[in-house]
Amino acid sequence: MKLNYFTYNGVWDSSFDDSFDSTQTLVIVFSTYPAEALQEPLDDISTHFKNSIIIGASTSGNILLNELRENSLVVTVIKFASTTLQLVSNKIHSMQDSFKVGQELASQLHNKDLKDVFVLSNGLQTNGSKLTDGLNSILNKSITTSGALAGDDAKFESTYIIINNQTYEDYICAVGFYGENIHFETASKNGLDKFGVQRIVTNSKNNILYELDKQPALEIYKKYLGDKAKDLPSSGLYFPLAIKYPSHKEIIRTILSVNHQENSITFAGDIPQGSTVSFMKANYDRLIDGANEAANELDFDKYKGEPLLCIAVSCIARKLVLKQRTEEELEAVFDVLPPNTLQVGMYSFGEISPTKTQCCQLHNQTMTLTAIWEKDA
Amino acid sequence: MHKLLERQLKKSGAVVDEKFLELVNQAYIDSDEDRKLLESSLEISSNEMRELYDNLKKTSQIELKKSENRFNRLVHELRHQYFFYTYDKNFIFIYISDSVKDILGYDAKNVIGTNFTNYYTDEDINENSIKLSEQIVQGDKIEPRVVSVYHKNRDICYLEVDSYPVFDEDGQVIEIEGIAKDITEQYTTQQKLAYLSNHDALTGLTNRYSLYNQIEYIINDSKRNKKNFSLFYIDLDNFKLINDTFGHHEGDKLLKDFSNSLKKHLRQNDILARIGGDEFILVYTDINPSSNYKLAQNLLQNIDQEIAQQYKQLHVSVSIGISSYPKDGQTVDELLKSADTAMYTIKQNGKNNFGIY
Repeated sequence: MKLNYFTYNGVWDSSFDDSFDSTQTLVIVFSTYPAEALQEPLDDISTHFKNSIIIGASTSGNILLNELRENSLVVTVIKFASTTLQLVSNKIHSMQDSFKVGQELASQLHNKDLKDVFVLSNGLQTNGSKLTDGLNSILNKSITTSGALAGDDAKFESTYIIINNQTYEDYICAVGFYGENIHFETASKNGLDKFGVQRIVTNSKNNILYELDKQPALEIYKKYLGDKAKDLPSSGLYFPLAIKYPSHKEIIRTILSVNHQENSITFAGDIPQGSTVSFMKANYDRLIDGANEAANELDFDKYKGEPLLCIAVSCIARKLVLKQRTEEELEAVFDVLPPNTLQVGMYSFGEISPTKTQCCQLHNQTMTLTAIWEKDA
Repeated sequence: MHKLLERQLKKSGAVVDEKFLELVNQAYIDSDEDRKLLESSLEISSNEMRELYDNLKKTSQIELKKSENRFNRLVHELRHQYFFYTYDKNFIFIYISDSVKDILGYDAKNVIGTNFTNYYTDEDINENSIKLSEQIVQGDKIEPRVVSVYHKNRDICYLEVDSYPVFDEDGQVIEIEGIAKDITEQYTTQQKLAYLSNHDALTGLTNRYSLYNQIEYIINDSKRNKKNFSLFYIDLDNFKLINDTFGHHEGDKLLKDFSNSLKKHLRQNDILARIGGDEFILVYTDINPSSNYKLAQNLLQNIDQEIAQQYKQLHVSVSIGISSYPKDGQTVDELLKSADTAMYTIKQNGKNNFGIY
């Protein structure tokens, strides 16, 4: 496996190395640009990587090494020696399609040689937990699946994904990695604390929350946010919800949008009626420690010094809290990775990575890491 | 610009790059906003907690009062049949409902502080109850049981008590709660019925039904332990004539005196039963058949000396048939039949004697 990267902020920082282009090359583009400003650099990329698979997503901030890159494109080129790739994508017409699209993508990728999957989804039209449920319905635990929901800073207006030289607002794409030598290692940590009273979800439908303890959930959020309520939905990221549904593991969910007419809040994943929820809050140190713990949790026992890519997907809410200290969590990860690791990534509206029992699950508020290397054939 | 930063710059006189100043200024503002948001959210949360606590306290007090009222109504409604109690791990009452006055005659305030075993009679059932109470103190749940206690007027009362341990948060028993039901009438009736089903109403001796059960037990015991026993079938001679001549009253009196006289010949594990109008069975347990002759002689002699003398004008005598286990029968019926046969032979040969099968 060979790695290369380029950045763009109106101009490319270096010239393309065409020798990387092949059918076994994956190009990942992380972009903070609006879709309409992207055509020219995307055409540049596709011109030089005609045979490669090009995917990408709009982000709430790009990650390169231990730095946060705003107003930029970060382009990563991975040329595999023995691993083969397959790109699949499907349009998602509405949030209700999330499970179905996940299932279809997994079905298209699935065969006996499939080892790992990397998924990029639009960030505002997808119910992330239904998407991962759909993937899990086809893929078993042995297939490591990670990815992200696209972001748009914290505007919550429009996200897109990139497939070859086009941007799409309403698509989900996935790349399958096939062969014996590809290796994915993942880890995910948050670093948040619950506070205040526990509340019962008394009215919800899928990922739309209407009432907590029979009171409008949006009103409770507004009360807690005070002046910042005018900045909803982005200010809602200050108080994600810890959700505990009987006999399920506790999960964290962040706000995607609000509907003032309906007094409802839409989250990145399901909020089951009857579950118990608590507000969560973050502090700098716990977030940075959480990122560091995630990096330390990556298992490098089988790693033998091959070129190593680490895709870091962190939640926009963390960036919103950390502000100028955001890069400290990137350093906290980067510093414990093996030397010469290429760390790239994005701030997102949702992180996808495996759990102990499933090939993937939607996470919120986490630093989620996917370390990728290819053993020498 | 943030006021603190403005003051710091003024005091230090530093000349700082504009971009750097902008970043520091923004960090100050962010920090203030974060602090305000955190403080305000914690205050809201704290108020919610307090409100929740007050509501919970209020609700629990109302519920507690309701529960107390329900309990008091229940205690009042059931006061003629039940009383409720709580005692500590040393069996000392710490609560007892006023209805104990209706059932046992004691004032509740006088019972509190006393040990419940003070009220127990010496009946055997209470020994078991004390053992079970010790188990409850160890945390076991025990089925309801019957105890016999003294009424304040010294009458014996029977109570069905159901006690159960109360645990603290660490799972340690702190006290025992229970309910007692007055079952004196029911219990004594049951005892009487049980007695009557096993005893002859006139003489109080074991009846035929109970005799069969007891002999079956003795057969099994003798078989296991390779022992012998003897069955004496005793029939009062000419009893029908005595009844017809002197009346049933005199006949019944004779039967009672006769059975009392026979009782004197019993050892601890022997049995005496009345199985018909003038027919008695005496079972000598764990005895060698060679002793039968001597025992029968003694019996006849004694009857002659006591009953025959007492009822001279009735000319009382008895005929006795004797069978021995195992040689004369392996079952109750076989042993009774053998003894009856021996007794019949005596009747045929002039009565007032005994015969060994």
